[in-house]
Amino acid sequence: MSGDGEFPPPGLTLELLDRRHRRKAFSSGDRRVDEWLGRRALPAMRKNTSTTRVLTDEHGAIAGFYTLANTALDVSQVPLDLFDGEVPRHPPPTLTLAWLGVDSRSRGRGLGTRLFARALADGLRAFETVRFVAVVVDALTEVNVAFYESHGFRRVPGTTNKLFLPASTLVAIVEE
Amino acid sequence: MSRAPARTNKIRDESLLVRIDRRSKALLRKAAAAKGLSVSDYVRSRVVPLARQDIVEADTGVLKLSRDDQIALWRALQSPARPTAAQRELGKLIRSVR
Repeated sequence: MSGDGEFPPPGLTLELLDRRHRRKAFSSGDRRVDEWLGRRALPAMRKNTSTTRVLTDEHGAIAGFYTLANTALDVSQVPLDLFDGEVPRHPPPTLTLAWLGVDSRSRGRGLGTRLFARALADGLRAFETVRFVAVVVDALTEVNVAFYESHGFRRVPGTTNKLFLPASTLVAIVEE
Repeated sequence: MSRAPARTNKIRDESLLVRIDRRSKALLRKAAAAKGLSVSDYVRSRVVPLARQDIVEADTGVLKLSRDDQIALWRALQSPARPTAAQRELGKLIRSVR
């Protein structure tokens, strides 16, 4: 099952990560994801370098989370005529969904898919104020690559684990 | 950040053992031969610059790509195709959770 019913599901709330959340008890089965949430996500919040939202129950246990960060695209080697007269003075901004994880005890409820969608909804809201050219996701495994591809993301040329969705496509599909 | 002192790291007295499947190894041999390099030289010449690129990216959040890949991505962003069925479904999904 996936993607049905209200979100956040009954009994869970979606909130900004803070020190009350039991970050080290989170276990997705992927060490890299657990290590990010357990040790690095909160310091990154404090430094304002990325934003992590967690889906948590009333005891502070984390069922899932995602992390968004501002990133940018190096276009220094793109020929000038492809810029249509507007050569960017800075690397064009992108929004990166850097991390997404679901605790293994909460699998099978479609939480990952809906957290992913919610991260994009956050992205769209941010876009209204601070524009970016694309959403980029970092996929940790080939299975994740297939997941993002099935939702219409395409591989960033020359990379194996990064996928993108043009911001204009994001706007178009949500407004439709 | 710590940086190794210049020059001294150019002495190739370190080795790196990498586990790899048979087909990939054959591929590396072939590619190295095509460039007239030893497998070792080939891997070093390809991988070290990529590693540097990955570090810049991790440190700065700026996605570094080769020239051709920058152009391909930029073109894709400038004239996105009409949304696919999968993308329209994604739109519905986003509307259902916001």
